[in-house]
Amino acid sequence: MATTTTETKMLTLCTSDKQQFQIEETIALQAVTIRNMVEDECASNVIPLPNVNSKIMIQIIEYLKKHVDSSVSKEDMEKFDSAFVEKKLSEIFDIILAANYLNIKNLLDICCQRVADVMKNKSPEWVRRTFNIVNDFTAEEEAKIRKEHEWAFEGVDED
Amino acid sequence: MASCFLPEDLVIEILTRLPVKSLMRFKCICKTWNAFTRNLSFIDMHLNRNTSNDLNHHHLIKHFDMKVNRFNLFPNESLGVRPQNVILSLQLHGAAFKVLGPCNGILCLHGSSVSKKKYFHIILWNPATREYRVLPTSNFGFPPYKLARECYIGYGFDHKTKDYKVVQLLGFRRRNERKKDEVRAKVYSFNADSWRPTHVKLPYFTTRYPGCTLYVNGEIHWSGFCEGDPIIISFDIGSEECRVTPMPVYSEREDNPLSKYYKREEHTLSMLDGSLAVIFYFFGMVGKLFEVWTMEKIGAGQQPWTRKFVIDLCPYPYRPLGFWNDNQLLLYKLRRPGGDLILYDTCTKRLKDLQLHVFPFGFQVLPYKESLVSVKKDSYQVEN
Repeated sequence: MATTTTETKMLTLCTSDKQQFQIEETIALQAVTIRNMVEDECASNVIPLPNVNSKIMIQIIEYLKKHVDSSVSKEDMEKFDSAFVEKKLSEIFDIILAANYLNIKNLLDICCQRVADVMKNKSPEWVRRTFNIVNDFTAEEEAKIRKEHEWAFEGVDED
Repeated sequence: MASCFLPEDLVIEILTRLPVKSLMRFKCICKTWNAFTRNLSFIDMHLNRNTSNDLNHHHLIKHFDMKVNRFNLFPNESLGVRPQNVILSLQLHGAAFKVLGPCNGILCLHGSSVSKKKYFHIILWNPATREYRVLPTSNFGFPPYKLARECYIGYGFDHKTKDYKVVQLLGFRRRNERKKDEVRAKVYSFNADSWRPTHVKLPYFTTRYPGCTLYVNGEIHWSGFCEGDPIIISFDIGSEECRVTPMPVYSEREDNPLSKYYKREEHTLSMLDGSLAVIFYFFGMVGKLFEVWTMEKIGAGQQPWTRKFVIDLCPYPYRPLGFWNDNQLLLYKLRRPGGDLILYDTCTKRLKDLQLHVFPFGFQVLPYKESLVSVKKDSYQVEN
């Protein structure tokens, strides 16, 4: 945790819904985007984060607080990470967007891996619904592609 | 990709973490996703993601089950898990089929099919996408020679030109003119889909073990004999230059305790710590002993060999097959009519039965990780 000998420097983050979060600078600086803003001194006391809402920010701060703690063992960190991504996919998608904007590589990695793990045995229909994708193949085209890769449909989860 | 709420780079970030089978299934989702699996940079990203993620590493075990060649995939992490069957999209009969590689998930199979007429095939195969390419035959020879006495096949990936190459070393003998015996070579380029001759400077050699070839670190290695001396022949996949390295000399001195009990009999090529490793095995009065050496790529005058360690597995009569990973050695335990696969941990010195009974003929084990790399012609989408 932060040392007690020096004064802990705090940063204020302001989310898209105008909520303010006061957090220790060492925690916030793990986000490369915030670090760049601080280093470039283009940030005053309050750092605006117009692409992140407060609901997601709370979760990201929880993640950053854990990861700044160097006393946590690698094993415990992995346990924390796998518990952290046990969320609804819609929430994971929001965290992915925020982690990408804030440039927190490991958070982006574990969330993308989580999505991949959930979707790997799913049907194309499930994936289209979940990713909100419109099928732009004609029925004939789709049937032809499916036929060519029939074997890839073995062992698919029920929707 | 109409109306997906994630930007394309993040969709790619997710999709490059999926197994090949899922990506094949998702080809029908929309045109954008379909195009990803044929896009070279996507394929590279997927491959490199696999490389850095140990969970996707497997071992491919090829064995010959009475009539057909079978392939089983073992996950690296959990050895207790039952092996997966790998479907080969073409029928391969005959125990003489050999598997080389893999390079980026592509295996090279070669051998004679004994179906209708005897015919020599070389096939590049991607087990994950189930695609394969049968190589054409070359339309040139090496006059005045007609039939080659020896034919050694090697396979590797040239990182500079991003080309998969298959090499054939052909040994030609002349009746009553032994001095004129020579080795010629031809190279198949995957990108050009054709064979061409390449000049090699090699002495005539033979090999007792036709399976003794391995691609490690940019070089294809064969173990053989040149005028009775054991050697390693190495072919650089990029420069196409060859070098010959004599096998390490086994000390017969009195102070070497091994010399009293063991006689070096055979060897196996393997990979250890990213280098070519030779596992020599000794049979003796008291049991078996393995000696492991690695060969470094070095300049002239330097000692290329390092003696890594000796494994004393007395009294088990096991045969080494190769390194499963840097501290696990795969062994073959005879149990008629075939044998069992045993893993030996060089650190803990423990043995573990892999619960797979295999037949000794046409048996091979290869480290494997899947990829999307296509072996079909003109299947890639060139980026703008």
